[in-house]
Amino acid sequence: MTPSRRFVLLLLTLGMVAGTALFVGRYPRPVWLPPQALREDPLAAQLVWNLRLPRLIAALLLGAALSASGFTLQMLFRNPLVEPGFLGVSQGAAFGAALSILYISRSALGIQTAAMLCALAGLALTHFLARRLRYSGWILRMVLAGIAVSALFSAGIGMLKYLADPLTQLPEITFWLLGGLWSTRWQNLLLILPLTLVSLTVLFLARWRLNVLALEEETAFSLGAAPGRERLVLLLASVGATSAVVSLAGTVGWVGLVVPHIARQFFGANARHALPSSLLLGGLFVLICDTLARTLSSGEIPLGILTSLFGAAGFLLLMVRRKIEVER
Amino acid sequence: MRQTLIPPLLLILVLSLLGACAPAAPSPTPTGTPAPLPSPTAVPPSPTPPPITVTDALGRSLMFPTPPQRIAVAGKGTIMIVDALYLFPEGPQRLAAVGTTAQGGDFLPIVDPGAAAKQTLGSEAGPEQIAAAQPDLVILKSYLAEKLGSPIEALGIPVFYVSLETPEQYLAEIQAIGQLLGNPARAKEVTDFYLGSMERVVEPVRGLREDQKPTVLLIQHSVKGGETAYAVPPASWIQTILVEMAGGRPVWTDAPLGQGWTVVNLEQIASWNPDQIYIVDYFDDPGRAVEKFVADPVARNLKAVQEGQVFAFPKDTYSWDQPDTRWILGLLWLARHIHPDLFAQIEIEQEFVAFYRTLYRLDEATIAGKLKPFLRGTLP
Repeated sequence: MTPSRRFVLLLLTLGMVAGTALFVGRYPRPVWLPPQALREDPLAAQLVWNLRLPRLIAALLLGAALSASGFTLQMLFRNPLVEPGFLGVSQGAAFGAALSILYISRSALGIQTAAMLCALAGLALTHFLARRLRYSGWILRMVLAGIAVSALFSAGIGMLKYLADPLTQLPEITFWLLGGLWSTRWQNLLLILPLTLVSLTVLFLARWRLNVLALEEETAFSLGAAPGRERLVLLLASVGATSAVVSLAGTVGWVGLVVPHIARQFFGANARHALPSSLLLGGLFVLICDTLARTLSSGEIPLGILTSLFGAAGFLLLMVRRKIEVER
Repeated sequence: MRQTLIPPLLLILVLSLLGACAPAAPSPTPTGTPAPLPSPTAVPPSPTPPPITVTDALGRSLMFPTPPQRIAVAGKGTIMIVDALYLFPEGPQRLAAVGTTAQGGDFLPIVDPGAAAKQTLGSEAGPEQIAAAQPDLVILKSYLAEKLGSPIEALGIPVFYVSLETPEQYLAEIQAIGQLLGNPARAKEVTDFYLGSMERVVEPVRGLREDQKPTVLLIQHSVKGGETAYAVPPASWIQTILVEMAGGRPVWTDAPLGQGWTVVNLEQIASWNPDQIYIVDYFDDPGRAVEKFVADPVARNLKAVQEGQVFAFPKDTYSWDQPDTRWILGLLWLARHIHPDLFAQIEIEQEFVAFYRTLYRLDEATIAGKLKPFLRGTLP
């Protein structure tokens, strides 16, 4: 089967799963809501249009943004173990959220803004440190700087958790760190929509350049690319998408790492096909996890727990069964 | 190289020998009954006081030659233990140190003018910080036995564990605290008050069939990650027990839930669609939480909202739904709302006054002037 046909098949699968997920949940009883209830039961209609639909879109965006960013970063850094958390972005967002909960504002807008700003600050700090390092090439310097910045933010989160009120602020920070879409409504979805869509559009349109930018610096330059500038644009788009969705959903792990690998398994390493498929697969993966999170139990299961569980299991399976490759 | 190593090695040897010759640290008493430390607030014991033997929540028997004079209450949620201690006139005098608390902190200064002078322990205080308060008894929640209790006992300080989680445990442990403080007569007065109030509720609902009991949902409103969250308690917690005792059918008990409050979404609440909803808010006005809930366009379609059966669980300095001395007020209030026909005679404000007058020995002026302003929730 050609990659294009596979892509269409994936698109159809995603459409079917999304359509089904709208009718899966706890109301009126687990697991299925009969479609005719939308006409007959006003409460069911309210639930589907005002709770499930915005949440479903948020899950698709979250998965798409994390996996597209993960794919882009893996290509740019020529390292298959890179993910959006790698440049201090996720840790920065988590630090920002915790900081806001403790000292700035406990409102959704306050936490999301602080998370986004600190995620961008994480990238800026990593970039600044990488430029200051006098050691090896740009990629290795970014890797080292990213590790250091993530560690700094982790230490900051640890300190904030220590200082937090154990009965009020700490559970809030912990819940945010575990991730989840349980509170998604149209208004907070619309808040993150512009940045996420713009960032994803940039990544989608620039997927052709990723194949060139994944080459050695000199080779990319000789092929007509401006590696430094183009990489920075793609980095900013990746971080923009990640910080926007993370500010809504909290830290949701493993999606950005494992989904790009699955995409490569089925669509090859060429970014032309692999990036859009990674985007769709990410959406599908998070949508399934989130549907389980809100359906399996009467209590919400934190989304980050399910993505980590299935992500880690999938990653182990991939490592055992096939060789992981990055095409240069 | 060899010469440079000799002086430090000699130094280590000398220090080791000095250490070995030093007097041994006093070993902790196995019975957990060390001599009480001198205290400026100590009450002189009677000439030949009989030793006190008391059993704690872990079933351990502890013996004290005299009632403890410097009590420290540590860990999280200390206010629940302190409120139980203050049921006794000796409580304020004997409490020497107390862990910080996120709720209920306004109550102690009302009932005890010397509360501000008590030593404050952080909620994460370890054995060393607690020992620094020089207590002759530490009271802890039983779940802290391994993490905190054992190291404290290793220092020779006795630890008394309480659960104080269910009405039965309350009645039994108030008796035990009465023995510890050397005032079993007061313990009987207190437990009689609780038993009498419980009987007023339990007796009328005893004969009700299941279909005569409304379905009830009790949720805690809070903010998590900047967003409104609703959570339900485990089936074994006092909130569930109170709803059952008051003649309601809690809808959330058949669900597999965690060990603490479990966040539920509006969809789950809609699938339960209970007859009545009770909203608890520990850190803000529960009345506002009710207003927010009923204004939600999705919640507006719930049966309880349409029939005006969404209530704010009352609180004063502490919410009445919790395993604190005030749970008895929560029970009476719940009964009044779950079965208004059976409990029309319960006047909550009168019960509120009687509770503080009987249990905390407060006069009506203090109750009206200092406690009533804290009252929040749906009060008929």
